[in-house]
Amino acid sequence: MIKDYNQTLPGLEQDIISKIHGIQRRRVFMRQAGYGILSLGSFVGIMASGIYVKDILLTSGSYEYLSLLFSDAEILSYWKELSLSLAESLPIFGLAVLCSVGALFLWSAMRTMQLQLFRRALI
Amino acid sequence: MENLTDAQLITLYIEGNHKAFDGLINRHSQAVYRFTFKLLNNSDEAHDVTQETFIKAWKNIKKFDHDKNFKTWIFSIARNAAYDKLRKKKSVSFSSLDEEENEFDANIPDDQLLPHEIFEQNEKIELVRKALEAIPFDQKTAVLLHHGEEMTFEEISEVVDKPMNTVKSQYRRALISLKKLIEDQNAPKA
Repeated sequence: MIKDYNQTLPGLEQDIISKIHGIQRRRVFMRQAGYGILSLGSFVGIMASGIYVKDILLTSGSYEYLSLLFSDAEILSYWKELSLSLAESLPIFGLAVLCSVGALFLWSAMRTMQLQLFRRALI
Repeated sequence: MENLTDAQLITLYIEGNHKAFDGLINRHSQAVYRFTFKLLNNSDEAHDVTQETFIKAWKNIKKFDHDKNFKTWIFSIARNAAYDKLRKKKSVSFSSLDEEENEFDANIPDDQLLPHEIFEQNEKIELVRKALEAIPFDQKTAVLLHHGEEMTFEEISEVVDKPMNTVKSQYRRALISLKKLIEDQNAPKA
């Protein structure tokens, strides 16, 4: 008798699936916005650290060491001294920051695109 | 998807196949709806609770213990959600059921039955429904899961998270109460 008043509700499955997809789309949108902001921030970081690195390279004499390396092959016999001088003149901190923000930009941009594809699949 | 077990669908979903969870919804949502409908005696509320149940399951699917049965897990969530709904509504008095009788208009009796048989069947259903409304929530859950969903006492004890002997005694007490209530309803009024 308990089974006799079994009921089904047409469209229930689709209602639940739509609701879950709606929540998923909102979540994905929020994450996408986060990664988008991170991409934008890291892009600004790339520009700023790029300008900083370029200025340091121009003033530190690193270019001179590099041009010496290509113009005079004999200098290679003094490679240890040359490497040390070059390392001293390079903006290590600036380059490290540039590489870090570059990696961050690539990662966040990739995640943003992945999430965009996922969002499209949900629609 | 239809040939896969619940555990396989869950694994697929966790691995990134987003259609796999839809398979679980298609497989269990009507059963969860039937159960919550009988617990709540209201179609809209049962719909909401069923939806809420699957959303909770979806949010917690990664925490699901693969040694357990998905069906008992989802019914356990449904039972708790229905219980919360009832608690919010406060207890529904037995007499107030009459206001919701239209909920049962959707019951379509077997076409093969004769009119007087349909009438008798509907009367019996109504008696059982009213009697079920009058028994405690845990007893009602035990009866609905055992008879409605054909769950074993072991499965029911997983759903309600209580020892099997407790479930069995709740079930026995439910049957005694139901019998008495139905007899009382059938008894001629003075």
